[in-house]
Amino acid sequence: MAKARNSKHPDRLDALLHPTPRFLWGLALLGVLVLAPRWETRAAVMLFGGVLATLAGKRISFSYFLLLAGTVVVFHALAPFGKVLIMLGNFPLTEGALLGGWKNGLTMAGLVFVSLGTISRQLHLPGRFGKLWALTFSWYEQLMESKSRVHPGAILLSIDRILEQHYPTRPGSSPVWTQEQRSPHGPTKASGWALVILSTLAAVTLAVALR
Amino acid sequence: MKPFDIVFLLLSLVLTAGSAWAALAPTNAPLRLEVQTDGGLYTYPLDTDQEIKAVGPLGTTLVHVEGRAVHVEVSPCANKVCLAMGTIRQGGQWLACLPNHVFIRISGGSAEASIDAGVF
Amino acid sequence: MPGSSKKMAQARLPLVAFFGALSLFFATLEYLFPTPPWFRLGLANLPILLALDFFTFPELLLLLLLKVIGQGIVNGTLASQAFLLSSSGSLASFVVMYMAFRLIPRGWISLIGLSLAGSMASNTVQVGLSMVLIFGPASGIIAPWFLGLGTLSGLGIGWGAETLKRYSRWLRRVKLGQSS
Repeated sequence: MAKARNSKHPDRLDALLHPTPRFLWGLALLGVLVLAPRWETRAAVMLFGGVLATLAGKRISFSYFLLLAGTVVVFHALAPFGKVLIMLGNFPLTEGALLGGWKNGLTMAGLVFVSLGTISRQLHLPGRFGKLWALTFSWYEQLMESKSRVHPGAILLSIDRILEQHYPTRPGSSPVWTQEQRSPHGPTKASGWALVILSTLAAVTLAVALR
Repeated sequence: MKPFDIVFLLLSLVLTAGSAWAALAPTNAPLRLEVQTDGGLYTYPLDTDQEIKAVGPLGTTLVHVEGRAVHVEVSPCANKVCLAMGTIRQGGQWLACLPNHVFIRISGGSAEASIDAGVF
Repeated sequence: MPGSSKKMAQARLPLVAFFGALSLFFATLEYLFPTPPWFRLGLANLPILLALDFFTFPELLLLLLLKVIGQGIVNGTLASQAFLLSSSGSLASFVVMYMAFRLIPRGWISLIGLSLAGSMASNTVQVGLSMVLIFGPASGIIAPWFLGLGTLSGLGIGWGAETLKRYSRWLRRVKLGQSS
């Protein structure tokens, strides 16, 4: 069984959901996020995405959301559109631009959160490319285990040593490209399916109801 | 550094400077459409084709923007003078439906002051 | 003979995969270099620069795909706008770097110039897409910042790649092994 990358922040959704349906669930939520006409629906999906990302062990912060949504709102406000709320000197601050920016900002934050919550590192890609990716990821994890041996003071030498360890090139050695034999991921549990179906239905219903 | 290293470095710097100039250079204010109704002042970019509904005491005056030109398409007033006023394109030009309290103006281009809030 | 060249190509796939892993690994080393929060150095491009002169075009494309999709999966951003931006930028960067590599005689350009060319292309595309999809039409003001920072990082990555190319014994042995 692949160990959790960060035992302090385990991926709690991993036990419930197989990576592939989890990925498709994410795409469904993204569809609602991008297509929902009202900002209230997008805000709800974004918040749900935040919960998912946290359950997945990713650290997200309120200040990140504020920064992302805030900059989007400010830039949109710079292109006035619609009802003038207040004149800032000669510049009109408009309702349409602020609302458009707010909606876009919510969407951008929502995309990031939902993605963080539904893309599992163990996502299996199909075909020969999938096999190549599996090999790549396996090596990536091995390299990451050596990360502490990268010394900023002697960076070239330390990196060279790490590379030689994982892909030996010295005469006489042959590269060891075994993949860790991963036990296949367990199937999605009933509670996982319930989560997927109920949340997707809720999101779609909200989007339709709040047209 | 090799010759084309320097070429691409210079190109990079030129591109950066060019984008700074394009972003910061003071240009004439782009043409904007201002619509004043009893409900407030509304502003729209002139380079986007759109239909604007201006609501007044008599109903909705439909303002049509296409190809950077503006005209009144439909209005609930009796005399339809606003429709007869035709199409405006330049900064400073205006249309009005006085019975419906709708005033339409193109601002920008050369220095233009915003209209008073209390026209009516 | 067609059969043996296919075998040779397949034998090189693990090396492509390892360079893909290097790409992802180098991306995580960015924390060693201080940058403003919005900006990424692009260390993940270093292996692609190094591979330009001994991978074939299909192998380079495969490496690019591994890098882009791999970052999306590892960072969890595969389903977000970040993936769209980074993949567009990476593709633009690769096209420009490869063309420059093929068209400009070897002695006239180093990895520094190639990196600068790639960085310009990547940042131009990403700024353009950001303006259209995210920040709206009035956000042209971000362009000079991104392009300016991109010039600096292009220089840095290029210099790093040249240094690795010159001094990495591992890389030298890999190239020797592949040419025999």
